[in-house]
Amino acid sequence: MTYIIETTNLTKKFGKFLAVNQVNLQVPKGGIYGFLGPNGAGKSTTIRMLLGLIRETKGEVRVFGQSIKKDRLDILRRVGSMVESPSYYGHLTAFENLEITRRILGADKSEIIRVLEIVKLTDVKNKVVKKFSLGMKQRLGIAQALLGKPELLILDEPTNGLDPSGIIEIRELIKRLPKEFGITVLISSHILSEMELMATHVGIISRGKLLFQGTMDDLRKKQKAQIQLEAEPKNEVESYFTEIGIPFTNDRRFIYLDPSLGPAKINRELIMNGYDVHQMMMKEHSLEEIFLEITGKEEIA
Amino acid sequence: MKLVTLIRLEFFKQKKGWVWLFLLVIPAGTTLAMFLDFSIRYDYLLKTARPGYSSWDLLLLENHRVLGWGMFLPMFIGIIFALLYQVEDSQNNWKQMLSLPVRHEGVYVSKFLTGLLLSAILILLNMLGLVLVGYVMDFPETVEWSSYLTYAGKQLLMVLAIAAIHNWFSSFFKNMIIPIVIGFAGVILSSIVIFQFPEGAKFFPYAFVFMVDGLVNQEFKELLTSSVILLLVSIIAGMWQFKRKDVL
Repeated sequence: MTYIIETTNLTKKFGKFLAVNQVNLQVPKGGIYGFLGPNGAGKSTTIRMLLGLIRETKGEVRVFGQSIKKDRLDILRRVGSMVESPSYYGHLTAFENLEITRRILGADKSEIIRVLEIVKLTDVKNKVVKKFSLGMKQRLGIAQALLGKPELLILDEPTNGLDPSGIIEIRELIKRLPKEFGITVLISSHILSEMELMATHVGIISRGKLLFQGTMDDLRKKQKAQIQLEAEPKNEVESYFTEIGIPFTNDRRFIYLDPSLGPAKINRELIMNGYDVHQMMMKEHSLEEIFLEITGKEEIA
Repeated sequence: MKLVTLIRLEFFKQKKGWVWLFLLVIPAGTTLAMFLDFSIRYDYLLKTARPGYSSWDLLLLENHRVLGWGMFLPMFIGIIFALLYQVEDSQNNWKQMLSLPVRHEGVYVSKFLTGLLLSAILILLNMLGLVLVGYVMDFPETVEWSSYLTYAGKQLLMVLAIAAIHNWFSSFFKNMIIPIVIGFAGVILSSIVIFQFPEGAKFFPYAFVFMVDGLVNQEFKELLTSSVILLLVSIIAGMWQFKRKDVL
């Protein structure tokens, strides 16, 4: 597999604080890579290192097979990015803001019109950006990133501050990019459900450590099913399971069992032994729960 | 990316910016002040002038020493550089700018050269304001363009060091007030250095402009050497620091 972005033991320390800890990121070509993690997990710091905005303490960043240290300009010519909140010159219009980026990239003037249309800001192109809503500023940031037809798009939390319809619009736009323009997208977020709807690959980072990396299907495979049982008296049912050697976990209300035990058999045995079974169902972990489990484990550790 | 393109972009970013108002208001203020000064004291100044000094020379000296243009110019230059950097810092545009294929060195030098060009405009407008005062006051002598242009040129050479230093300060401090306060403190200190320790003024860049008034300036060469050395040191050190700075 060809990786557009590859990092090797990427580490960043701010004084004594370890913000990114030996991250080995592998972003495949032509996909949408969802870079997930709770707030403060190290996503933005990693992204800044990918763009050469922050110097790594240790490790290496390679984009398009080139080192960001040695070939920064060559790499950045092929990358469009928006890091965290959008940057803009508030006293200038949307068009003028894009004109600055266009001149630096040496792109054609028609590019401004093209990206304004993509993000649906054509009607307000002559309005000063300080008068824009947060969502409009966010879309302008995406337009800036798309200018010059980049091969790789790096978007750090691009849906922050957008209303639900804005989120859907941006999501649909991002989903189109690999298919229609062959652009590889790295997108960071702290919301798994958002990634679930568009990412082909996913990396989960917490406390600076990359805890999971793979395809979305790999992550879904972690959605293991369990029998969720509500039976009474709960304490006695649990003692019974212990007695006959059936492993279980529990919370205040339910008892959880491995589905291989056979729900019908368990149900029959409980009733035959005089316990009341109120409900029994097969329950799959949602991706949110897996995400919390992965990141939670790290926090406990 | 060509340096010329980056400098043009700096001017483009300042479109509708405060820096233009600043460049107009300050020379307008000095012109008005000189006009009032000469309306009230012209006869007195002529009477007490050194032999050989023309009305134009007197006007130049009044502007430089009495009004304190030579003293305050370094602070004005500090403000110009603070405004140039504030346009990037206010919305953290550095992360956008430096994610584009531009060299850090190119960005840093383009800021410096833009600041220097704006400083030249400020100096030139002050000079043109003086010429206007001379015309309005109807000086008997013809305007001494050569001495006035020499005055402006020497000021520009004397501000090289302070421009490089303030380019560095403004790139280093995110809060634009800090370099402005440093500039103000430099002006206060320069008045102490110039009058209490005149020998030390050759090494104190905030005092350089005041020391060269276009008429009496035997120390020009020494000051120029100091200005150029400090310019080079500040540019190299500032660029090194700017290149290494993490863009957060």
